[in-house]
Amino acid sequence: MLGNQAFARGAYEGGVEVAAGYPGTPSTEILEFLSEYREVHSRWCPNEKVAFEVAAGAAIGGKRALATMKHVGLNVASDALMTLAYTGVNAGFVCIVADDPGMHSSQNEQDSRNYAFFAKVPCLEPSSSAEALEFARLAFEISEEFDTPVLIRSTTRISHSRGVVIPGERKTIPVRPYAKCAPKYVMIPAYARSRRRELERRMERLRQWVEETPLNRMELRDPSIGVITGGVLYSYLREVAPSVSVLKLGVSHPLPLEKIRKFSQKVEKLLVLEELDPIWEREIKAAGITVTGREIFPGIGEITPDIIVEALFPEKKRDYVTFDERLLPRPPVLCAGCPHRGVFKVLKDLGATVCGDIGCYTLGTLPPLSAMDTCICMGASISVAEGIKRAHPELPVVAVIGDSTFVHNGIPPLIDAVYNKTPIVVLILDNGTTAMTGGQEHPATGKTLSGEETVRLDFLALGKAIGVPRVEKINAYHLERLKNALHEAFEAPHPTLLVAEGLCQLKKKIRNSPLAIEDMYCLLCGLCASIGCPAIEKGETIRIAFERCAGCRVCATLCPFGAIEEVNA
Amino acid sequence: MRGSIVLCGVGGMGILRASEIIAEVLLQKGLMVCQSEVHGMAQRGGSVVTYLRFGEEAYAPLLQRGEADFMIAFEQMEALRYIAYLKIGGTIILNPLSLYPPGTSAAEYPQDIPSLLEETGFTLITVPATEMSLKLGDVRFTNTFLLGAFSAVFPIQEEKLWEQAIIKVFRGKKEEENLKAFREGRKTVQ
Repeated sequence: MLGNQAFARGAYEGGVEVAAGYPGTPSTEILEFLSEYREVHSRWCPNEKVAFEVAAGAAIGGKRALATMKHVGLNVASDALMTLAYTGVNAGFVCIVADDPGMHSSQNEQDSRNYAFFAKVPCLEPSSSAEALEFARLAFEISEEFDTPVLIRSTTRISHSRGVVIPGERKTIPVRPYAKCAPKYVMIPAYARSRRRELERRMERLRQWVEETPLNRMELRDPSIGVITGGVLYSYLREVAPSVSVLKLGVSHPLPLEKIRKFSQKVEKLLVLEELDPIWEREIKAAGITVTGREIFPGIGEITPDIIVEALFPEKKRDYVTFDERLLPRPPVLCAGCPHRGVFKVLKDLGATVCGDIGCYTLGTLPPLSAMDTCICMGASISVAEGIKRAHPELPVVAVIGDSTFVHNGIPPLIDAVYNKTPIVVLILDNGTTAMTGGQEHPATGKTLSGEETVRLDFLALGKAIGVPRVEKINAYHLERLKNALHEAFEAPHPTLLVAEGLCQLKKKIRNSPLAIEDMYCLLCGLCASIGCPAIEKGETIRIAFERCAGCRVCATLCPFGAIEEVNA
Repeated sequence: MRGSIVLCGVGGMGILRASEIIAEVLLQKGLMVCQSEVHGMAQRGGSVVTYLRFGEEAYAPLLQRGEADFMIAFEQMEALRYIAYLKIGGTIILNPLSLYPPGTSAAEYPQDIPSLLEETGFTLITVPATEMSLKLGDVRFTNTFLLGAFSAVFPIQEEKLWEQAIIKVFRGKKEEENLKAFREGRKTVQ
């Protein structure tokens, strides 16, 4: 099973009834797999904060609940997490958060264990698909026993690895009674103060529990080296150095400091192996135990088996060859036929200052399109554009944002632009799906996670409702119309909302006839290749790869010589 | 039996699917398998790699450099990119396809990759999978075609087992066509 599938299975077996999330690599598949179990109400939410709170409400109401997200999603949900830690949960509440060390598909790498420390909630860290299942199941029990939200920290290599898993039965958990209890669930200062003390008492109980739980286990082998580790790094270590002694931490917060002290006395040299931040190392050192960590293991990027071998047993390094100097980079690109490739070409030609957002279209940053100036986090395109416009009113500033991202966090900044009368252009690149994560539904697609028809959010009506003076929908392939609309918007003294519509090529089933270049008319100007379409190959001549071309005709509209035509024309 | 495999190529070529099929075959043989893949960029023409480890015990989904016994390369330059993971003298199933990254030209693309790999001491099996699967009617059979060739040199060769795995993973999508591509691929090596 894929790690994410195992998380879903574990939550299912653990009796989860309500599950909510927002897609984000590498966490997305957890909810997708969970939605296959009809007993569980699974849903995509507009963003992670909403998802977290829906799940929290279900737990307070008495049903076991799960929230899933990626690390940057927990930033969005962190407001709720910090206070849910005070109130406690009634029925089990688990949040699975997937970190992305090495940033395979993220804008930063952050260590979600920090949130467990920050919010004072327990955090579990599985080492394999089998443990992903087991920990997800157990987490609900831990949550109920201690009346606390529980975090499970996954990483890319856990979520997106496959391993052998033995599924079990689903536990049917009766709905817990719900009784009104404002002092527990209403965090006005007077009540919060008493919950604050309860939080510390709970932490004290958790500190005792982590010393005993079998989730933290000592594996004593060769006593010359002892390594404290957890998560996927435990698996790497077992593979590359099966003889070393290990203290495997299944619970990464709070730390079992007594157990660590005992382990340190049984080994000659104590190391701590953790990915991203030296959280354990700091705590262990603060407890007066001598330990080595960051001095030999890096804190930037993903830790690989090679890094562990080089740090511990350089003599065990294997021979290998590389031809790196001959390689060309192959970054991901917008798909052939992507409706929004042409949009970037237009923005670049117009010399617009483009504030981007999170999604496939962030790829518009890379050459040859090179049409994006900023990209920070979900929704920031619009608010950053506002800021830039305030700094430089003379610039034509455009915020580009995907449909799913706009729903996620783009609406409040658009309201802000209207309210504060900032004359920016907000351009929604609407491809009818959440494309980057593999095509999930969202409130503007008109379908739920389970495929049910639902009310469809209308961007133009929304724009009008919040008072945008000019809203317009444009076919994303009609570059001339888009150009004119942008020109007009740049002149306007108010914000403008444009919706460029064109379905995601990964979802679209119908393809147009592919195009070809008539060599006779082609003067090799390279204009068609300037849009970075993967179907256009530049060798001694320029050709269009028949099998990759989606027939979107963007290149044909760019060709000044009319050399690009449909194959069967 | 214990070993590891690296699969590499370009996003959208069916690499994740192919490694899922191999994992299924290994599981049917009662072996432990772990496999690592990277999503997100997978369908957008970026460089894609997956690692598979199998044996009576298998813990880590990532390999060490110089560890893999086999490489299945869906594209030539991607073979060069991940060759560090293949042990010296390991076996490569190579699809001799050159996909130029957008904006680059044939002149910049590394030349003579097959001979370069062979001279370095790897065992090279060249399988024109993309070319052949186009003849079979769809470029998307490249992965099953390559798996056919791989199944003839991998220690687990039982045709039935492979075909069952293909059926299971494709769940009825172009099942007959994929099985045909698999058999044709197998013939190129046998």
